[in-house]
Amino acid sequence: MNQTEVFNQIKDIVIDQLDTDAPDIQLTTNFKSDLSLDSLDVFEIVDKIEDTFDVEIESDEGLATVGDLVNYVLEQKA
Amino acid sequence: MTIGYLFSGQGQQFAGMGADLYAQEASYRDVIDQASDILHHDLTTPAVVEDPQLAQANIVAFSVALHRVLAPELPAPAAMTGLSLGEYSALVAADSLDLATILPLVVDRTAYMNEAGAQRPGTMSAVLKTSAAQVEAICHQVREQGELVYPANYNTARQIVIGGSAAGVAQATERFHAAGIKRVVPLNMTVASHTPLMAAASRSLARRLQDVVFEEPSVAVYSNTTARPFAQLSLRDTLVKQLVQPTRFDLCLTALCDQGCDTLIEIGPGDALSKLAHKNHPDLATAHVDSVATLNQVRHALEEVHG
Repeated sequence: MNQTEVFNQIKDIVIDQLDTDAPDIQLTTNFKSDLSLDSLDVFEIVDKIEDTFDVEIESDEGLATVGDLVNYVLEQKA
Repeated sequence: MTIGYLFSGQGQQFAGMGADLYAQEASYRDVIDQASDILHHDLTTPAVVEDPQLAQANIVAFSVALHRVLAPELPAPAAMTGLSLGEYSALVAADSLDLATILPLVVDRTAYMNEAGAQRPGTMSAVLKTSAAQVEAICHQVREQGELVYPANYNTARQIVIGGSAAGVAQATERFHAAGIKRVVPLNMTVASHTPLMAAASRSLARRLQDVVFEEPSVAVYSNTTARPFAQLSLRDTLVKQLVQPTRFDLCLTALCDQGCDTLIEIGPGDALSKLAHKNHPDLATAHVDSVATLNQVRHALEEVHG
């Protein structure tokens, strides 16, 4: 899996968590400041990512942006 | 298209809430002016909007005023529900209670909950990737050890909020972690709503409701407590129990689907309920209205449906 594939899947998961129409999601998009998600929302996203990619994510520490999650998944899968 | 309404609960109020609607929507303004007269507080001033003692009244006034704007523009709803406080907004929308009755009532409800919380402080945490059976079993085990913790909000099949004493919630959290449930997320709450820790508030509310007259709801309003429509005769009793029994918003959403609803509109601050609706029933169309921008989105979507 390359970065684009992981990014696209994570983007779908994030959009699914949001109630609004698909916003412009980039690697730099910050969950809290750009998407105003609360920590519960972020954990729901993290849970879906665990299921989708079959990885374990112990905490949300250091996972502030979409790119952080993409890199985390890529490292786990490397 | 069959519509259902969801009325927001507490916790998603935002700064400047309603200012844009007040400036642009005449029927919104009428309700807020009426609410300000009833409460003897000007609900358009930020200090009043942010007053914690008026938080519940502000949310109900905001939601009822929004409903007044939306109702003439939308098809009649097949059913409604709300989360906790949102049930009160729904009952006004269904003509069971009027504004003059409900606003002082929810101000008192706030005070009862704060008093009960001061007597028996509590905390709440959301448990993710769990099940109802697991949450019930762990809460039971902790109570057998002498600490208080209970299931409080059944939000989805896998997301359940627990509430109890600080020690009870901490012990339950340890047990969840030991059982492989990693995420138990503390919520910003100082009272354990919808648990027996609210017993004193529930008793005060029972006395307060004795003289309140409810009409039979004109539309089915599903109760979080019973997952059935509120009925005139049992309404008081159900609202009293609501403070000490868990909310079954998951079952209310299923009931709305069973009533044929395919489109749910969340009325009130935030989008927490539309998100829950989407998680429970991914096929539902959802929208939330809490500003001029989101109101216009719904209007635009309606124009497309009707051509």
